[in-house]
Amino acid sequence: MNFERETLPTTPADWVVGPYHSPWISHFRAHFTLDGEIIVRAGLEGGFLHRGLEKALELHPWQSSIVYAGRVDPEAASFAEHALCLAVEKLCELEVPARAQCIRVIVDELTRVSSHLKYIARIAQATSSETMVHFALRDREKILDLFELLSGARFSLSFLRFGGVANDVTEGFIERVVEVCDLIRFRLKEYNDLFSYNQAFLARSAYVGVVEPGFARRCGLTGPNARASAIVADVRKTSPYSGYEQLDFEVPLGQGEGGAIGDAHDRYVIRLREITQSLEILRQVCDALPAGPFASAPVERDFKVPTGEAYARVESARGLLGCYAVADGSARPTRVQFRVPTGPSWQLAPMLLEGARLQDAPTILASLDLCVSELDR
Amino acid sequence: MSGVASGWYQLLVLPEGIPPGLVVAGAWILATVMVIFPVAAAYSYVERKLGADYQARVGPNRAGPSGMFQPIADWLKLLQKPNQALSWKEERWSALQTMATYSTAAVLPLGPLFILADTEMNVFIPFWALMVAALATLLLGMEQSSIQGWLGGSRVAAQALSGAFPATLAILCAGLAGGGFRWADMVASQGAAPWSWNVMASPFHPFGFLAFVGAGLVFSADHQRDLGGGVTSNLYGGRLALAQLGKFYVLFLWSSMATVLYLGGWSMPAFITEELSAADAWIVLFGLQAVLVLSKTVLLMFLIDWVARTNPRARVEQITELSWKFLSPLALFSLMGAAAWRALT
Repeated sequence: MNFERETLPTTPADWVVGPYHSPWISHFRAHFTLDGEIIVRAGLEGGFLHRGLEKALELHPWQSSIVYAGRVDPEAASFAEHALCLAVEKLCELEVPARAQCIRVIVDELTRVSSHLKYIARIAQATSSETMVHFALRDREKILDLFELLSGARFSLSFLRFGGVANDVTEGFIERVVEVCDLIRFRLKEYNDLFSYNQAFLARSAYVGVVEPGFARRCGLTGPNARASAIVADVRKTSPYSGYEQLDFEVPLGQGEGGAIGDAHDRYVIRLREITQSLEILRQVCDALPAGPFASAPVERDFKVPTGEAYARVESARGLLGCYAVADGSARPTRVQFRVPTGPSWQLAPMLLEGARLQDAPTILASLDLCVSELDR
Repeated sequence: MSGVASGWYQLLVLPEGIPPGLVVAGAWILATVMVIFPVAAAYSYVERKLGADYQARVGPNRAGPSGMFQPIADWLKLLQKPNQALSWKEERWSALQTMATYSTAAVLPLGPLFILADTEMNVFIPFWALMVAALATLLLGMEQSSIQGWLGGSRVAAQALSGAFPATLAILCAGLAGGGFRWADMVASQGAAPWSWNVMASPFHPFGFLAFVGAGLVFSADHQRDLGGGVTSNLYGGRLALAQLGKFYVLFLWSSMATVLYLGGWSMPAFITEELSAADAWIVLFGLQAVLVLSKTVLLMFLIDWVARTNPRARVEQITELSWKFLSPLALFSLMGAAAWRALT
């Protein structure tokens, strides 16, 4: 961006915003030093949502750990649950039935679409496009309805179990999933007409918060944020799990069609394309859902995990989500640690904010899809 | 017509000895309570319902049938809000801002019935008053000793400055067709039919209209949802309501000005005007004219609201850039073109 026109220097002013501030996506405090409208120094302070989740995991039986894992990011609960299940299944050498794997993929992809729709609502909120906020949230409700039909909960599903899932799909669920997929596919066109290529939105998001590919790699960025910077990084492709290797889907990459590769607009467009791919995955899985059991064996309260350690990773809606589990053969975990995709984005955000306009700060932060809940946990 | 407009209160039969100023003030208060409040309430309800419809929402639906009493509920709630104490310095600029904004009510072009002051420069008065209000907002923001106030005040002032230039040119462009800057003259030069409105006076006038409406958006664009929050982020209760009402009022004022400058104002078909004038039914005539100009104004406001609600909001420097680099040349082009057209035809 060209800031050379800002030739009128002003006395730098410090401004602390948060932790509760309506344009913020969640609870954190931002420290800005401003030169007029330009941010010359920025810092983010987290920790306001710390709940001691990893410690809580050590204090409760393995059976309860799924519930705590789901709270890492309550809005996209299935990913952390899935990562924990994979790690524990590695330790226990548990076989997961094919039907259970397919149900896990359905839940994951629905969660991904739901999370991306929330992302669209957030970035629309950041650019004050009220109509788009309501459109995205309206369609997200349809997915939350599906979660309710499946598990009884709309958030924090706690639906996955070691060796499978909690229940088989309810009657009519698969048909409803197909209907919702068709609806959202249709609505994506509406989003593009209204918002994605709207000149006002392009003016707010193109060339804003640009993450160069090399910089993204050095920062350890993963997921859609990395892919927007044209880095091929998708755990579903690089180390497939739960049957993703049998599915046919593409990994969209940023092309800088609005401005530069890796800008806020690219990060938005990537998520739109990922929704399309997720819908494609859902269609394939729904078409070929195998018959059979939905879990290998019920997980009881005295469920024990053999001594050892295991690391598993999944592709969450925000990127690589890893789970490192250590067991000592007892009924409780010794240590469970998560590697969350928001970490690198959080480190990167202040660097993107420095030099940007103050009015772009909400857009930059929303475009990075920071999840303070999973960061603080 | 203009003579009647300037002294309309002479039409009233009143006892001797009551000063005209008192009559004008009383009539204005009466008109505000009887006309402006109900119209504003109806407008806010319809605007919220329409806005909800654009956004796939339901809108007000709890207070009364289909939420029709929502404006009353809002008003009652507002009355319960505590009054915010400001420092005398803030109070000074806040008062100036309020006075400057609402002083334009004296020249609000809603037909002869509502115009309290009829001068040769009527068209420019609201415009200058809004510049004063912008200056007062800047000073109020500076006085608030907060980043929000400081940035918000500067933004308002920058927007007003950038919007002033194309707005002046667009007013001059309308004046070319109108032959004067008295509201009544401006309306007298236009007919009731759309093709006799100023906006159709020459191939260049539509651009002048666009520049004027655009300049109005530049004036009234707010950044409430952006990070800063602006001057209003330090206000609450009645003060905040007054500030927000001010924004609504500026949009209303600007739309009514655009209506009178370019969209025929209160011009009615000649036979109606003649019939009612001949029958000395001035109040009926003025009432009908007010309804006509109000309807056009409200339609224009709905149109602006529709665009504003369905599009993302621009940054402040994008707004000022739009004004300096697009609206100003557009207004200049329309003025020069309209002048050339007038000279040649």
